[in-house]
Amino acid sequence: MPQHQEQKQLTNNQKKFNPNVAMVLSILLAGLGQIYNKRYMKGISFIILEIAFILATFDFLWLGLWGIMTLGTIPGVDHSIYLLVYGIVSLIIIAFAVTLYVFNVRDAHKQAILLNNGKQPPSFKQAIRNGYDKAFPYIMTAPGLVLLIFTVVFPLLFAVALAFTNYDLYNSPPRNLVEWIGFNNFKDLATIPIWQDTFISVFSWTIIWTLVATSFQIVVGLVLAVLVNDKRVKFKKTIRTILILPWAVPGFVSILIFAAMFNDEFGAINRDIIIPLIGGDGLPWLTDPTYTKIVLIMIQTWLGYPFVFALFSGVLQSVSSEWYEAAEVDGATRWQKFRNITLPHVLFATAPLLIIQYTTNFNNFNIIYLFNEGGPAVQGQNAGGTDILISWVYKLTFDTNNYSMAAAISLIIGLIVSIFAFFQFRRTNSFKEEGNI
Amino acid sequence: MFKKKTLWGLLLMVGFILLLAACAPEREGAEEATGNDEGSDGTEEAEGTEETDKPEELVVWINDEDIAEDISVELFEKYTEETGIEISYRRVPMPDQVEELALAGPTGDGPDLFFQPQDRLGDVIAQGLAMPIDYSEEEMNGFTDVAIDAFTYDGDVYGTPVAVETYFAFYNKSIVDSAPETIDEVMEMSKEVTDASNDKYGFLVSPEFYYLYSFMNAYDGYVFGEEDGVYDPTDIGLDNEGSIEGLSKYQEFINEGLIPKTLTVDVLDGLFVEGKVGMVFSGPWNMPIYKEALGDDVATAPLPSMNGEIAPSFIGVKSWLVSYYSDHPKWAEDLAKFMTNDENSQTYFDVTGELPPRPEILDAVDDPLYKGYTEQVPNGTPMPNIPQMAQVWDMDIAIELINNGADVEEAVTDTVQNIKDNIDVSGGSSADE
Amino acid sequence: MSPKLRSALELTGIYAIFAFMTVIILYPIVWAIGMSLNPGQSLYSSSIIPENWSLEHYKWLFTDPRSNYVTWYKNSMIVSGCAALFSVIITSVVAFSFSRYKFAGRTSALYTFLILQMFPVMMAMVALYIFLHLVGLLDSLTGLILIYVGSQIPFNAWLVKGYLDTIPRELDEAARIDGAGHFTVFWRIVLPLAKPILAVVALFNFMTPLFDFILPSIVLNSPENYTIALGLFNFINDQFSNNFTRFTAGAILIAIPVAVVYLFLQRYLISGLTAGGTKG
Repeated sequence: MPQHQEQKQLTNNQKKFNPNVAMVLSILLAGLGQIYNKRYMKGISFIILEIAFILATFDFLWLGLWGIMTLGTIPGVDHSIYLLVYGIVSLIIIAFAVTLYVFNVRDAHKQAILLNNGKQPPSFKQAIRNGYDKAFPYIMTAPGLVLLIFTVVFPLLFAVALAFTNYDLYNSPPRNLVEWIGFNNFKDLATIPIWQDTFISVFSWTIIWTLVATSFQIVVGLVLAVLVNDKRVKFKKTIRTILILPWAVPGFVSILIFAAMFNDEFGAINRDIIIPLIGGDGLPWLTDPTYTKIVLIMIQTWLGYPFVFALFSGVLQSVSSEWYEAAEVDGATRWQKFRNITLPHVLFATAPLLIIQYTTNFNNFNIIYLFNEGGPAVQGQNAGGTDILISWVYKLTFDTNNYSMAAAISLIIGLIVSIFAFFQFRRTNSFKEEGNI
Repeated sequence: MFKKKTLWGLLLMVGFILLLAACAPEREGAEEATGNDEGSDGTEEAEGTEETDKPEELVVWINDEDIAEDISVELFEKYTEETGIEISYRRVPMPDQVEELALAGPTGDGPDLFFQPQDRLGDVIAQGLAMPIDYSEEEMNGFTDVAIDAFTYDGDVYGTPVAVETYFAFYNKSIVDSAPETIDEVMEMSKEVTDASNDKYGFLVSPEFYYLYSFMNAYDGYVFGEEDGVYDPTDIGLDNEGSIEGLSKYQEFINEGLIPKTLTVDVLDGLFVEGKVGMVFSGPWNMPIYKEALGDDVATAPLPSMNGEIAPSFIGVKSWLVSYYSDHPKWAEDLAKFMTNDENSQTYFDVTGELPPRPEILDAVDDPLYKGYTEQVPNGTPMPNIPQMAQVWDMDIAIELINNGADVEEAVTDTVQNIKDNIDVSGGSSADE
Repeated sequence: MSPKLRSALELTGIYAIFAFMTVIILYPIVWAIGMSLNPGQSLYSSSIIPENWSLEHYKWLFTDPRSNYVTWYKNSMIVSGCAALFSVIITSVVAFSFSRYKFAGRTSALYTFLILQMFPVMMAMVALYIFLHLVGLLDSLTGLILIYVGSQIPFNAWLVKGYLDTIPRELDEAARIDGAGHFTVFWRIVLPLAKPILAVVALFNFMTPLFDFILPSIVLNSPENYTIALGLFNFINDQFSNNFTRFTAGAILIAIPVAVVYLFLQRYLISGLTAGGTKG
């Protein structure tokens, strides 16, 4: 073939390089297509890379792929969970390899076309220069992407995979193997009463918690920001500093301190405030689910408003005073100015961050767990009275080793949150697009 | 055209991958195990020849307590002197050890020996994390039967018992002259002494199933039905009449305001140490602490009698276990046995104050502070060691409800039903042992 | 009512609200400081104004041979410092690419990752553990740092990209015409202008590892590798030796410098966050 090609090289307008041949060759072995295109350096380095890749990873990939299919066959020797992890890592490596491979095939195809159109193959140096230009954003994002895949995507894949297994205490390596069981966990969740009841009650509290706690922190943050922004207020800097303080204290420390303060019998709140002022025995902050819920929302407001406050303070400073002046000319009341100028401006500008506030609270494990471990206990469900989905998942995972069910519930949580976030982002995004262009 | 071919190429690749995945690769240990089906239940016996090779080092996970470190280091040094094997140890909180072992074992970062109470034995066995111990008749006789039973599972003994633990009554002699002998006397005493507004209490027991089981068990409530040493996880007796009667007795203390509703162990210890409580139920781990704070005012007694006899208490046995992942199980076993022989058990007792389950030592204890401890032990019931026990701790929920004023019968019936459901959904009722 | 009086009343009301907030904010903080000065261990025998206050818990942290506090502090500084530094580097590079270049996946990649991150993956800690073992970074601060740096990318890159989008492109183009390469534009033109948002990213990524105890509890095994949050958490998590007063002492020693840095940087925080978060 190559000789044949060379003979015809003199006649110009003929098809010397068949793009399809280049493509097929590069599918057979990365780099062959490039060599066919007379890009020897490139071709050879591709071949070397591919062979090195196969030699270096073959054993691992084999074990991984076999592992993820079977999850092991001999108890005590095969550790299903390790095999599952190897399998996922293998799949990720393969995905990387396939991406590069596709790039190689496309490259061969494109080069052949370019050559046919009479373009001179660029010199090696030139090629590198062009490549650098085109690849710059890829090179810049690549390290980040690789890290992301292993810290975000990989655990997610693992969690998703677990949801379809029977991994629990009684199916744990090394004694036993884990097996794929399809949608059984989800079926159980929907049909077995105790799962069903718990899921429904935990889910509804999670929604209430998310909406109320987040809205509270936004409202408090907003009100304070507006007040501090008032022209007449002095010592703005000092006041801001104090108001931002809860953000500066480590969250888990604050929560634990609050937990101690709210102890029914011995905490400072009942002892030093409620009983002297109101009398009685104090309020059952930690033993009555309703009170615990109220306290949780108050604490989350305490913890969360400074972020919103800081954000709004910044935005408020950017609202042009001309708008207000114009409104004053039209005789607008203060409420009207707030309602029609301040509020839309502030909310519009910060919408994505506020959405993230909601989704963060939906999964706000720390406060629920550290304050009262999801308690107090209530009858008829296997979660505590203030457990939100994520803290329930934690208990299933670490207290009862019911990994697969925890994974299934996580998957449901994730889907709910991401669908919500997706639509919200899209909405705010499309607004933005209009505004920016 | 282009797309199609790429697709085709990808398909080819997927096919190859599937082919690869279809047949098992070679892996360490696979041959041994396939050649020997018996080996697959986690009780693989190590080959003798290999085992006589002395390891240079053994790794031990001790409980995350200063005192555990003190005693262990002392014994480790002695062992190193005798055998030349170095011991490296790590402090891992006892409740986290099983979980961490499951993670770290396969990577080789696990220990050779770890430390667990028998109520977690079921979890350990279900996951196959421990290896049985080879005892000679004589070695076996060195331990009390209760201790060996506590660590026997399916006929194999899985640990070398270190200490036997139970709770009993501590009382403060400056508040009560002698320990009330029946629960009714406790009630009377409590009514006299308690002044809740000044944090003064006659009698406190932490509202946890662990302690309150005494009330239930005294009136014939039980955790799992038992026959010939085999527990039946489907037969739970925590909601029978006896249990209800016992807990109602307890609830009177709450209703009368004699025990605060949100009492926790920390609070209880704090108050007792400050000399504000007449009597508490607590365990040997508090003996040095109470003693230091209250001096000679502390005394102990067995639990007050309920239903005519000294109330039973849960007996826990803590033990060294040989990790399934140990590379030197025989030596790990050797170390475990070394640390629990008579001489070293005596040292353990001297340092920690916890009673080793060895008759020789039990008989020799003459410290009056141990009166309650040694007298309570024969009256105790061992905590069931099957994994379904994990769900039974949900009884704490019933107790929380009872503390908050719920009807005892309702609380107990519902909770036990939940425990049964939870055992079901966690696969525990079908898992045949 | 005259407008003047009305205004004065309003102003008093506003100040009253601030005063009220100040009490709510300071009360727990002061209470915690009081706790840390109590001599006993138990929370319940302690009071906000200790009768016989002592620095014994602070002394214990630094002098007791069993205390690893100083090591934890050092570890936390290493982890947080490195996480902050590498986060800023990686995030700014990623954000720059997203802000200035067109490439495959540009429009949706950031949002996709942002959304993927909303899936709770608690039980997948097991997977991270095995993976770190696979690459030999188990029980090492490096492994911990890598995970922190990786998982912060979506949110922070999105934040920084929002900020970079507000920097006029004309500046880059002018530099290009003068012959500047990709990297020079990034390093010399864009980066200096992005300082406020990079300060925010640095701060966020310094704080997250500092206060996280869940991930370290899985990844780190040896007490000498513990970070401060994990170490402190163990003070109160321990079944038998619940040590609340010691915990507050340790927590205060870390909270104070952090609070000072926060307050010191609040100007950046407000301006950076506002510009980055609102234009994304």
